[in-house]
Amino acid sequence: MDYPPYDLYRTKKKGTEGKFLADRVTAFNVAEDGYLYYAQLNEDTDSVTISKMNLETEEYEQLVEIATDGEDILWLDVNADKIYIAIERKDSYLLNTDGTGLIKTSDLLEQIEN
Amino acid sequence: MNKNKLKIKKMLFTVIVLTLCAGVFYLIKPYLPRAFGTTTGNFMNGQWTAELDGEFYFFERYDDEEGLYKMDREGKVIKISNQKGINLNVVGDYLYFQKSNAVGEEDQIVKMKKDGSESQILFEGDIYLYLVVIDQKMYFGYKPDNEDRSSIYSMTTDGKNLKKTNLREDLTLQLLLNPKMNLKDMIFPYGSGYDGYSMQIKDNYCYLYKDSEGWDYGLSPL
Repeated sequence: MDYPPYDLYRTKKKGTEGKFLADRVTAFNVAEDGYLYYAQLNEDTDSVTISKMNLETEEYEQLVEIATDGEDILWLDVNADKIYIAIERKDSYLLNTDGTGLIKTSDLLEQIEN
Repeated sequence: MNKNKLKIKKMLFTVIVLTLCAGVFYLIKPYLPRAFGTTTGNFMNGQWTAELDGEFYFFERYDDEEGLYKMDREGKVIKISNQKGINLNVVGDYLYFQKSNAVGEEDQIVKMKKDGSESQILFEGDIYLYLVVIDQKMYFGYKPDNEDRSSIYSMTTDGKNLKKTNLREDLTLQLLLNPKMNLKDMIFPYGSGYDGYSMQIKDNYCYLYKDSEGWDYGLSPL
């Protein structure tokens, strides 16, 4: 495959066209809470927008925008109420699944030291 | 003669009961509670984190403070290990992960208690990218020295019973994490540029990217 971003689809049955979900996606995670969490690349601003989509209603909500400085490969782990966002060769962040509490993990660890 | 007949009847009865029990178990097996060390979503995202009962574990990757951390239910964070790793799983009282070693050193699967104590190496070798722990069994990619390519191996969580499985590469590990899934009619763009990191299987759906070359990736049933 080419390098990201990609259009993201979901599909089920053999021989059917997939259903479009989002464009410019660099990472995604269908979590246990029934939401799709995904990162979309904003090439103009060298950033990604982290969003969540209710897969039943397909309503989506933008949670945060994070600067990437040109690094567009992301990891997006989701556990219970927390999202872990890692930008390759750069920073990693924690974010609550309701969009609050964005913090760099390095800042979080600094708070432990102090 | 009568004794023999009775014996045969008893044997038949036992066989029927055992067959029925096995059938019932086969039917309900997907619905029995199981302990999964990770999720399909995290599987395709490196498994840098894991969560169990409100306690959250994560690897710090880039900072001077590399290592494994635990955040408790109140949000308090403590470092539980200086070891660096990926493919984190948490099952019961233990964490499992693939330790990131220096170039040239053997890869290792590490097991430790959730407070970081009792760290032990369960396996060393040419481990390939993924690790999934389900109940008392772990699955991982491994290439023995005498083989050309990696396969999926299983091992019990005490580090014993290493076995080569007939599972087909990484996507099948996502299937193990979806025990209720109906495989019939499901499509998989298998062996076509997609892998366990570019598509996710979840609840009878397949989530995947479509790139500039379109769908023509040889979509095929598993």
